Amino acid sequence: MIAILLHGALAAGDAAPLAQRLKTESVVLQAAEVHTGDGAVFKPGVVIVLDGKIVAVGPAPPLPAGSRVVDGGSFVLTPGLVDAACQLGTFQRTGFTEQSSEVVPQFDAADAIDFYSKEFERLAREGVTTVFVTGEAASVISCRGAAVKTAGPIAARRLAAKPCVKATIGPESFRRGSFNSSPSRFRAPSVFQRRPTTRMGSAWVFRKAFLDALAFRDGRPTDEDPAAMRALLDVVSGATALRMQAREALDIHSASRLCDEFGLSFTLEYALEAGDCLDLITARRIPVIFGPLRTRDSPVSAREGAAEAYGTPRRLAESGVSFCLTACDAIGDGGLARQAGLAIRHGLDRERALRAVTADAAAMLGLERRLGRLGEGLDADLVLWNGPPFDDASRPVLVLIDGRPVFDAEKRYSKEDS
Amino acid sequence: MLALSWLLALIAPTAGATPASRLPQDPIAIKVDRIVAPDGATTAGGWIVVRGDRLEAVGAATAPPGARTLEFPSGVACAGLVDAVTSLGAAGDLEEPARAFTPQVQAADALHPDHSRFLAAARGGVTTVGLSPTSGNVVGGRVAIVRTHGVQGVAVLSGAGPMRLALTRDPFTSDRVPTSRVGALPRLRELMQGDALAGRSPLVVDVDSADEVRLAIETLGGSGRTVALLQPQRADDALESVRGSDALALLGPFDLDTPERDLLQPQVLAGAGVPVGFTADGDAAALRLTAALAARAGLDPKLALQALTVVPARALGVEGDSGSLEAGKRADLVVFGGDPLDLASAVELVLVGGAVVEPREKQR
Amino acid sequence: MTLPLLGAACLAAAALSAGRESAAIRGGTLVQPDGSRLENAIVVIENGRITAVGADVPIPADALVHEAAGKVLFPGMLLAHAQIGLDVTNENVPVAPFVNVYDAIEPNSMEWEECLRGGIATVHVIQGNNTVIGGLSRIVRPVGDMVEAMTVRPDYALKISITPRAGFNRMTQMAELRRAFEDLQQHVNDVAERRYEEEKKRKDEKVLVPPEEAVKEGTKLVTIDDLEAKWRTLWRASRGEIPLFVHCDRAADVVRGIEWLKEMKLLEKSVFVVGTEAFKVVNELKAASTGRPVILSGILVHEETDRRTGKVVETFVPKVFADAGVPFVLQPNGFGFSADGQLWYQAARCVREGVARDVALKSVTQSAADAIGMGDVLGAIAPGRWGNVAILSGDPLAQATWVEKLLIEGRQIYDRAEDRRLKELITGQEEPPAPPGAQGADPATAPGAASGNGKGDAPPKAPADAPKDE
Repeated sequence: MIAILLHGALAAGDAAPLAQRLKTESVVLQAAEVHTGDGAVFKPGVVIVLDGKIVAVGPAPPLPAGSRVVDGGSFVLTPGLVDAACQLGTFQRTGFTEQSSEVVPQFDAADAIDFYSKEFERLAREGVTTVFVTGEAASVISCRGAAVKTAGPIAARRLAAKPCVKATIGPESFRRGSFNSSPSRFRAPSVFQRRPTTRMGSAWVFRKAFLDALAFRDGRPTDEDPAAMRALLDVVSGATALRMQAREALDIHSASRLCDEFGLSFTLEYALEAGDCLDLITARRIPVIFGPLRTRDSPVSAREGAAEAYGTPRRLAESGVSFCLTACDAIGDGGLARQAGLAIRHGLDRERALRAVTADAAAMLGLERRLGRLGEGLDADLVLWNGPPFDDASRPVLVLIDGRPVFDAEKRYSKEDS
Repeated sequence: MLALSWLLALIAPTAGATPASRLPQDPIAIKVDRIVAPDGATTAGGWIVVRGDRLEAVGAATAPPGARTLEFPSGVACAGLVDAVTSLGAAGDLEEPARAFTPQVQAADALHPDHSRFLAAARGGVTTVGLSPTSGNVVGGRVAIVRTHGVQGVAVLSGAGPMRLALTRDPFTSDRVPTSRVGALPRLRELMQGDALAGRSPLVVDVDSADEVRLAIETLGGSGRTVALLQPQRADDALESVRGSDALALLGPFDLDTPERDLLQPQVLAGAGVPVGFTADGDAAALRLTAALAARAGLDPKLALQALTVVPARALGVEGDSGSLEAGKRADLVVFGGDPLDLASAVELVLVGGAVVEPREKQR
Repeated sequence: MTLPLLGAACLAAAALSAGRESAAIRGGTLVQPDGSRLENAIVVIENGRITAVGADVPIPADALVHEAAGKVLFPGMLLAHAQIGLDVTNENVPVAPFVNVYDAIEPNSMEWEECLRGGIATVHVIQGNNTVIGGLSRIVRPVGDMVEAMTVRPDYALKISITPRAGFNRMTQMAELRRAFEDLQQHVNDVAERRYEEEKKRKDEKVLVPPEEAVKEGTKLVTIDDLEAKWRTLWRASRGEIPLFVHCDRAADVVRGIEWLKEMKLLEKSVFVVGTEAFKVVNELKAASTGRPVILSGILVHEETDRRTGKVVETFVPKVFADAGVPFVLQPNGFGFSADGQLWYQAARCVREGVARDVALKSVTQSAADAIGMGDVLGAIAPGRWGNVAILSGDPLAQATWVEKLLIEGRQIYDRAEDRRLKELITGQEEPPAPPGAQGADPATAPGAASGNGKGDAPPKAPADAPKDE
């Protein structure tokens, strides 16, 4: 495969310099197992990187003379992990979004990202190379999310994911937002401007927002912020995607009904009780961003609230629904690698679990042509694990983002760097 | 409000360029042992000649005839200290809490010229200060550039100095819109494109974390205007963002309780090519202590001296007119009894705009 | 307190009326804590004890054979310092040596089920850390309707804490500890003097010696029944008859604790239960423990912020102990279903952070058994040891591995196929309860089936020659 690629490079214009650079500047990573993230596995395998992009992936071929080799020995290479609904890396943990209204789709989570946050360093060490910072549940309709890479020069970290706005159905928007429940002092208080205190209220705010947007489109007078209205119209037209955070089954059903009223298609976020709504999800082909699985209590003892079903990832896979896994705001023992591990423990196929935290997540973000797989032309975001990728006894020993080593526990990369 | 600032603008230039009839006609010649050059290096001494409110010569071999002479055999002459962001002379609040964006506010409107703190500052060697709106607003208004002394007293050199901004958590409270920087940035970007923030004057911006430093430079920089980062806590973590930018940092005040990491920040930033200035709310002793502690922690003494003079002058946008001892600039100068960074050196003489500041009566 | 003797008599009597006593596990891969493996192993257990282990070992005709082809055999794991089944883990009174977990263990707690699910066959139930002298502990198996049926070793160790309990500072804590032993000594002296007088009176002799001499002679005559009930446990501890589990959270507490225990001549019988900072004094612990394992906190990472640079320094504590060659025991952090609430997960984390596999495996088996004085009968699968064997679906540290079956002293106590609650969790669907008697055994002895928690046979009786109180 590599020979063919080099041939192709030679055939293209400007052939001599590229082939020459492949020989002298490319980095070849070899490992006992290479998982490309879309089902293919090479044992052993090789990935060739040049200028921050993957130039070739395949079974170990004879290597171009003079190339620089990073030897992953008996270890396993995978694409960098992608978390499609992260709530880390912002300048404050909660309340980072604008709170003066419950409908704020005209703002961007990109303005909340703290590029120097230590959380990004930890995410990178744990193999998570790209995250999509999603809006907050404190707003009924929250800001647009933002995709960033977790390490590297700041200028290179921003990504252009498909624009996406998030709405929250369920108790979070009135539970979390209630510390700011007084209305803005510059607008007359009214029952429709007061922060909702019930599920009915949240649903009403959602409905009213879209009704106002349609009124705005039709030229009818409305008090609402034109920027917010335009942002909502982008959702109506499909230019901006919509996510609905709905953890409990009843909220999942409400979300579906509300979107039907306006003909909106959406992706479910954090839908922990998706296992109880599989019929609906399968029938409507709703994509699901599932997670995080976490509990300190024994699941067999009585617990109030959303009961987490560890078997749901397996059931989502079996039902043919498109889904990915997320760790939300957890790192370490609850982080994305452990989420995949937990799903595997409860029956999800290993390769499918890998896809659910790499290629499928990238596809949810509209970034599948840039990252999420080890494929030609994609960004060189890779992780070298010292054992089976999501096993509890394994960890990343080398993480590359755009071909740069951002974590190198055993100095495998810099050893080659002379 | 606008009318008042126009009025002050009318008065201020006149007050600044004090009519020659008010100052001694004859030049003043000051002999010192050493002179601090604009680059902070201490060079050989000589005569400093002051005519009117300007420096006529620096390091001359002889005094001009008819000059009133003052000699300091062991004196070290330095440009007057500048503190770019203070609350000196504020009559009442410098905060306008009703709205988050108040570019039309001018701190000059809150100035009380007879304030006693000005005399103390002047006696300590602080010759120019910026009176600034607080960090309570995203765009807080214009800093007033004030000289601390004059024949006619304290005067505003310019009511429309640098614009004061804040990108910390301070401007964002739950009872005002916007409640978060996410809600503020679109409006701020709009203002940067528009007229309200137009001009070449520096932008003084309050920042704390490394990320706020990055945000300030990304949002406000790039137009060739100086971005003065005010008291960043962790600019030393944001070197990637500050390197090669138009930013300078105003740090301090340092005291004996300041953690070591903060004392090292000036030299870390200097190493990345970021000019560093000190600020201490106009308190001369605190400014000198800050400089001494920074130098003791390893900051190049030349940079420490620049941090008291040239760099804050840049932050105020007045570096063409003051901040260093060069012929043609304003006659703002201090003569210390020894090395200015040595806290034991007394202040022997202070001139603000050519006018000698009367020292306090010495206790016997 | 004569109950322990009665209890032992009950157990011995019950053992005589046991049912099937032979079991064999065939065809699995045996993984030992030292990392060695034996393919196609056969393990024979008779009367609760392993009698044979090998690839080609004869199986008794009447043995119940558990087919384990494709599975992995591993010793049942141990919790060497747990508060499972206790509603409140510490008495309010700071010095309470007379308190006993026996009175508090709740046999019906869900946590015992979790133990079985997690492959834990032995639990040392002991008071918590918020104490000066906490009380007497008990080693149990996690199955049984009554505490007596659960008991493996009653009245095992005394819990003390060097780290100050809530509201105390270091000086107060040590003062209370010293005072307790001094008060004990005072009481013993009083009793000794009285016994000497009684003895003299009995022999119709006069007391002709000064009080100190009377005390000295009388001490030889004092028996445990002469003492007031509340002092008996502390007296046994002071004579080295029972081990001490000594809680030392900070590094300074470890150092102070070692000094004091040396002073009191109790160091040889002490097992240290330490906090994360103890890694700083690993060499002192090594010298003081003389080969006995150290019980580590469930939190495996120590975090400290460097004041100068502001950086947070993280230390993986078990690695420090492993590198220093100090055997250690792991605990779960909290007790739950995912991540660090599971004992095997803690061991897997050790391997992840670079600890040798055999050290990690030992830390939840052999070392834990050593820590509770049962290192010759628990913690490994070998002839002579108790038949505590877990049949796993895969490698003990792999996260896709489940406990398929757990045998405790030769009896199958847990079977995942019958674990209704676990199935509900995984499939998300409720299963109808199995009708009583579905196990095929006598309902009176198979309560487990009806309750849907996978419990099979009735809890095992202690092997007839189970060691009694030390």
